Amino acid sequence: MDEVELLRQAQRGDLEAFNRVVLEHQTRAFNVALRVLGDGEAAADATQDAFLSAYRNLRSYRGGSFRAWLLRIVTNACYDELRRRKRRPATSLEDLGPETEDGETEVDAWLASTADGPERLSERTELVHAIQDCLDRLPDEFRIVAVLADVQGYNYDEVSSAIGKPLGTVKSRLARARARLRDCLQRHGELLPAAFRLHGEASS
Amino acid sequence: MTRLSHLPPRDLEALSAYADGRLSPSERQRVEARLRDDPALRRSLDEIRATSGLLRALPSVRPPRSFMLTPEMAGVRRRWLGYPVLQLATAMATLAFFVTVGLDVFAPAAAPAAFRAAAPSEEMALEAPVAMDALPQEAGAAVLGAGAVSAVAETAMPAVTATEMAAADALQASAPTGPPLLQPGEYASREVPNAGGEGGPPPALTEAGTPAPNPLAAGGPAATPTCEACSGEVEIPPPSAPVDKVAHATAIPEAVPVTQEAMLQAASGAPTDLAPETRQPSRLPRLRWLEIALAAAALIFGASSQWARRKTG
Repeated sequence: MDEVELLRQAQRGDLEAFNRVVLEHQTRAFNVALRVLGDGEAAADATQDAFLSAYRNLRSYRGGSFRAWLLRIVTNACYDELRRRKRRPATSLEDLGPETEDGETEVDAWLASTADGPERLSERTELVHAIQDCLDRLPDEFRIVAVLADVQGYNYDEVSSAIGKPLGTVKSRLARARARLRDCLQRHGELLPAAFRLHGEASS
Repeated sequence: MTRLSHLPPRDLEALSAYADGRLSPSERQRVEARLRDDPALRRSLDEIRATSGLLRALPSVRPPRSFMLTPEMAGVRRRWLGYPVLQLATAMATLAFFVTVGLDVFAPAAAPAAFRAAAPSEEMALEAPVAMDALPQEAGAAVLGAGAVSAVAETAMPAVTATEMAAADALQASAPTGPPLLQPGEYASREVPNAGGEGGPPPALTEAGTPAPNPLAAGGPAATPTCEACSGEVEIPPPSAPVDKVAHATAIPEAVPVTQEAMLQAASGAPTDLAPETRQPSRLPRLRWLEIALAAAALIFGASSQWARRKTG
């Protein structure tokens, strides 16, 4: 059964049909939240909130790209979590970076589930940590655009609808996010792939 | 090295959008021309592409759990929705209850009397014409009988203002002059002695019997009118009627024998008169029933909303 039909059934209150749609989208939704929030537990909560909110507001979905519609809800759930953190400074973004023990063990646990050899895994783990660290250092609105456009590969229009901002804003935020990320990542030079590193050194 | 963040914002945005293939053809041509001439700009473009590529290479992480919704999660929403609806229903039922009670208590003469009088006058309008049509068939008694009918109407209506409770009775006692068509003489005459013999005959009967002199005096001209006039008289009671009623009450002994035919007409209405009699007590409680129903609804809705609130925690 295609997604359109499943969604139609879900709109009539069929929870099972909705859950089949959830299965289809949950990995992408969780990864958006994970990269934006940099914390697995918070990302899981935000994703759950997003799907619950999507089910509650399913009537307001009137066709079109469900992926884009859901993305906006996931993005909003992330914004909610970020706002919550600002109200409770104890769990500020700095505490959630990969430098902290908690962050590392969580990321390691997820990466352990991928089917890589132990050596490559540790290398990749460090690189992933470095990238996540740089993402975490970005201002919220830059980070969200960078995650949506670059990490998840959504196009400009989808990002624009997800954050509720015009295309021009998406373009400028993405450009500045990339510039900051590049500057940040160069501090982790030894972790970066050769091409990335050499280019940076050659130009310096 | 020229750091990307040191690039002019316009150049940075143009390169970033160019890397994504999101420039218009003219913008793209302009950027490509500059890239040919400017190696530093080319390096910046490469850095943007490398950064973007690194981010895209981030592994997709398997969610630690499934985010499928359980019926409880989905059900929470329905109960939350049900709670305010139930609260509203409770408020509406309570309001309606108090409005009804208020009507019952503060406007006993106005609202309920009008409520009760409405139906009988309708019956009158329907039945009286039939009675009038039938009267000519009853030969000499016809005129007298018709007079009695109108007289009954006249004396009965004042009763509405005099005694509210008897309003419906009196009206309906006069109204049923129609049914005699179906049950002629003998049946009706059997009823007359009963009515007369009883120590306390129904008020409707005594009032129906008394008007006999009235048709001779005031009701005389009203004997011949058409059906419209007949029903018209019913709806507009004469102001002098209460006085008439008192006068006739004393004249009962003479009136009864004189107006045999009138009695037949009125008394033959007695069988149907019983229906309004029995309907009368049930008509008053109709308002009570409404009050009870509304109170019960308010209680049920209130209890349900409390239950719903406790369920949702």
